[in-house]
Amino acid sequence: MEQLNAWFVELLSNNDIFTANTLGYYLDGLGNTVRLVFLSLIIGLVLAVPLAIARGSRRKWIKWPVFFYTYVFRGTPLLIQLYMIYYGVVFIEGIQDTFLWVILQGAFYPALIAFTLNTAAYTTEIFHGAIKATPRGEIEAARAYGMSRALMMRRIIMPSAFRRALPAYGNEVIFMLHASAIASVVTIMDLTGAARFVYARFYAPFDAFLFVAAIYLCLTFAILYLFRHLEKKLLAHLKPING
Amino acid sequence: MKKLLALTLLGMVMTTATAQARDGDDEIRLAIDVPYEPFVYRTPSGELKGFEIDLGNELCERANLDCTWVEQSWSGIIPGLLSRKYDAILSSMAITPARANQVLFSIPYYNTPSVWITRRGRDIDISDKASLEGLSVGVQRGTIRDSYVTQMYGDVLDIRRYSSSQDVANDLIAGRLDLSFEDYPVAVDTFHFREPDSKFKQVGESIKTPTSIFGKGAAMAFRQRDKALAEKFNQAIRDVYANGTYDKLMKQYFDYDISLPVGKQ
Amino acid sequence: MADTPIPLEVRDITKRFGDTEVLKGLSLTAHKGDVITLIGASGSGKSTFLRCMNLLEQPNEGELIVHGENIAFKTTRHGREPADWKQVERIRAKLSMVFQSFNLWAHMTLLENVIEAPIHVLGKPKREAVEHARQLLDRVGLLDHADYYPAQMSGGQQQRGAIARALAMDPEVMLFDEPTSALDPELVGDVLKVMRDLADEGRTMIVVTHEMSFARDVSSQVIYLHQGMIEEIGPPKEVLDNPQSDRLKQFLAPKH
Repeated sequence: MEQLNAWFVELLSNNDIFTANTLGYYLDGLGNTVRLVFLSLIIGLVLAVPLAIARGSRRKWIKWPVFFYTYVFRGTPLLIQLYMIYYGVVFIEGIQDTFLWVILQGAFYPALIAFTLNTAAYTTEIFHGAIKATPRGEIEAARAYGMSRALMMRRIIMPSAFRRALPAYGNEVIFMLHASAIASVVTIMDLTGAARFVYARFYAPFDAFLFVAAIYLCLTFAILYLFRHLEKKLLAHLKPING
Repeated sequence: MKKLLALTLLGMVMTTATAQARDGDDEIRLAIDVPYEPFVYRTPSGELKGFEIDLGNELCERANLDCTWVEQSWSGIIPGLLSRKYDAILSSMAITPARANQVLFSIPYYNTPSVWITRRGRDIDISDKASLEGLSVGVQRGTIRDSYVTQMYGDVLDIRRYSSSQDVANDLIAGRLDLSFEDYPVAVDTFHFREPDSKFKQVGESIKTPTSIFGKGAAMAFRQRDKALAEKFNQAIRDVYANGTYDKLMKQYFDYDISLPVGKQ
Repeated sequence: MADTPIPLEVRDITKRFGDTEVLKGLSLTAHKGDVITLIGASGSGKSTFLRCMNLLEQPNEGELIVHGENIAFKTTRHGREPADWKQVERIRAKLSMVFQSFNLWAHMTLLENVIEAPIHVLGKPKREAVEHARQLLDRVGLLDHADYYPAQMSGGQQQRGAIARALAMDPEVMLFDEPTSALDPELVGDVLKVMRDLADEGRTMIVVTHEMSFARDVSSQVIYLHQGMIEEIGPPKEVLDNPQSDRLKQFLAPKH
């Protein structure tokens, strides 16, 4: 352990680029990226469940607004959405005087809003597709046994749909991690922001970006591992009994 | 039909070949980060104008070179030079030791301090570091001003780094930033803070030191082996200083002095 | 003796799909312990008729009376609909259905399938539901499969599990919609055996099936449907051994 420490300290001090200082930026960047991505995914997921149910409603006045929302947020690049919520919003007359300004003034909340709305839209469509794909027979059985629509949705359709949506949702999580790399265009010091900082300071694109790419790879690996574990547990009902 | 196709392909190959061949000629491509008023900015019709555009064109004429301008965002401006996307940088780049490791600098052609700008009516004391806790300052990423605030105020200020100086200005105007730390001329032309009815004002002194951070003035940058080209421009710079062209250009854009004592270079 | 209500009664059930009239005024009464078999060619409307009884299909005309309760209907611009869906849910809980394609809930184990409706629809406490479920699974010979998922069981096992699920609701009437039609011949026997046992213990059952042996041996009444109408109705000895109409004779004739 002593040797490992000594080696590490030597590495840091011999290096021009990866000093304790710049590594501090990468660490901050990691914290910001994880916070931004995690929060937006969680909130987006929570929003997506009722939205997905509404998306499948028979009533036009419920399903059309949801469709419009998912269409807009899936049909435009995340970068544009981020720009509009960050830069665009200041052009609304008098926005600085409202209470909204407290959250819109910094960079974190506008970015969080943009990311959340984006992932919620994609997740809504994923869940909607999964709900639609629920086997008709299972729904009939639920009706035949006296379940109300709400009970059926809660006990039969949603658990079935969640499981079906798992692979696609795992992809969405990974996409969001990588999409978050644009956060630095609105000054957030996320992982890519740290890399850009090092690049601008030391003119060393390979060092700066390869290092951050390695971190993204590690994060992706962790996500893949998590989802593989979830799939093993939740999709157990699809495996043959003898493995 | 086949013959026509073959001839067309041949023609395309030849035009691209000749386009590449122009590389080694007397045509010099100058890279510049747009906008950086009043050094360079885009007119409503899309044309590039500004002090550095005029100066660059003047220098090229003096050096008998055929120059074209290439717009390049600041973050990639040195790597672009090194990978031969263009031949020189004329973009308010300060001579710093870190940069001098990568590129060959000409003699500097102007020197200006940097200023802290804030909204008029705000009471900020730059010299009292403790009072700055939690305030935000905007800088363009990778500039000497970025280095300065990071080194000197990184522990108290929330430093927000932008890709272009325009973005910094936008956010200060929008009220997102408490402060911006900008090049004096750019601040003058963007915020007009010297005027009494401006919404912005300067805070504290104009800052030029330490030279380890701020460098010795803005100069052109070349690839390290292009010594001959650098010398051509050095001579051109001395020439425009000597025969008054520099002064004339400067007075068109600035009512203050940004020049350097070139004789000592 | 107290006047116990008739488990199930339907009168003059008419059903149209678009312009086609699929059921033309059918009536049926199931007394306690009756085992009524519905037979007929494909397209005769027997499944549709069965599904009208638990309102998986909405009859355009006719009455439905379950355990003495008359279902209220209302007319909307889409056609006729139950007026009170809570009432529908309530009577559905009394009529368990066994489907041709089993329709077990794939993400739940067999045991979870069986306890699901008793707990969430009837409000039974979990311990009681699990105990009852295990008894039922034992009865259909699937206790050792309690923690298996439907996809891990054969068709015959799934169907027996579905029957256990149906029994768990302690239904007034059990509805069987071609329960063995999707099974390999070797597995049919096991399911039929379970159904025979149910009939023997006095369950009220309405069964749509092609299994004539079951119809003959077990049912109290056989109804032959043709193009949405009841051609013949009566005890199995009459209908199956002594068919009156030509069509029924043809239907029953060996088809080799």
